[in-house]
Amino acid sequence: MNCRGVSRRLSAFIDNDLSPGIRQAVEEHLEHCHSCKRRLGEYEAIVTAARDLPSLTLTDGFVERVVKAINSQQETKEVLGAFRYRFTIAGAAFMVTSAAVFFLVGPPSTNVTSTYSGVQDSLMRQSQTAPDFWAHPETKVSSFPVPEGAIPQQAVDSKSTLRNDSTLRIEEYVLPDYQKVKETVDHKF
Amino acid sequence: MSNGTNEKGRSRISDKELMELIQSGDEKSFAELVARYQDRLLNFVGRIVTDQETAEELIQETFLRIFNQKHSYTPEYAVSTWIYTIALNLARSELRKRKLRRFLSLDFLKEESDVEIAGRTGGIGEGLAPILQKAIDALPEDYRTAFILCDIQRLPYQQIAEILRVPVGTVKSRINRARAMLRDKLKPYKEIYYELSRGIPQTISLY
Repeated sequence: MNCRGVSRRLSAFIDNDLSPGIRQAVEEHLEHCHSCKRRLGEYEAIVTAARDLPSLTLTDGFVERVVKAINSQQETKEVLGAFRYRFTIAGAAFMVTSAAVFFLVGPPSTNVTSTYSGVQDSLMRQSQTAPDFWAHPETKVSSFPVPEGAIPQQAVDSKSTLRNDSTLRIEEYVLPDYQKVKETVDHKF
Repeated sequence: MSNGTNEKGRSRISDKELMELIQSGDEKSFAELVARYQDRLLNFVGRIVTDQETAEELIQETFLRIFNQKHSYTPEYAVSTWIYTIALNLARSELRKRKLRRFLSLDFLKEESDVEIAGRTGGIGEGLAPILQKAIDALPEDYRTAFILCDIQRLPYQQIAEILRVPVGTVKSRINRARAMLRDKLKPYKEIYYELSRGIPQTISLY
């Protein structure tokens, strides 16, 4: 075995982790190689010094701090757990109540029919979005004239009822649920 | 083993039996585990992050994780391997944060040299330990961790390989390389080698 091979195996030699055959080859090399022998001595010195390094010591009360941290964490978990439980119960109760009301009372009436004969210019310009009066369920919309040419063609689909007198009939409107009104109207437009 | 194991009984049982008790909810067994590993972990994590205060915080976090994840331990591995792995992950995470902070503050432009390592400690006048410790601190993280686990924690190669999740051959290579790097770092100081080699009968005269 040459110096390079021995050098690679010096750590394992110190740690007694070589097979008997290889260990013997290393030992034979070390007997006549001063350089490798010196290197071995340096390694052994480092290993011994590292093992003798003074131990670090924890500051007082470490175990108590760990136990306290765990207890604190447990308490936090319990509080969060209790809240989660309460919210779950409350949520379930709300869902059950809502379902019961829905089935007993029925859905909000959508059978409101109104007719308006026309749309204001400003509203028609916003016909792709929700006109202001849809945001106010209390608004009473009656018929009002449609200025000639004010209705964008793309806003009136085949389901809309465009009367001969240039009025547009919307069958559903003014509901407590803004989104529903918007969907309905968007669909009709 | 029942939850009614007394203090004396706990101190005698193996780590795996202790973990079984912890998994069954025995808090006193957990305190015993902390007592068994706190010093070992400090001398492991402390030498990786090179800062005692941070090391203590990381060890506390290690024990919190052990407690929270106690059911994820399986007897397939030694308890110590599992614990060292958790501690090492936290220590590496801390080193990554430091590296990022150092990069952001542009401190990486100021590289430490071996001369500074020896100069700060004041040479061998202050004793051998600080110089060797500084040389260990200056090793790259992979080599430093392998060296600490082998030569300070004195764990076998196989367990080190399990903790680092690398083949045993890689562990041997890293340890050999770490020792060689330390040798090179300390070589300029003949007196240090003289001191290092004292009391080692099989070591020949170095110079």
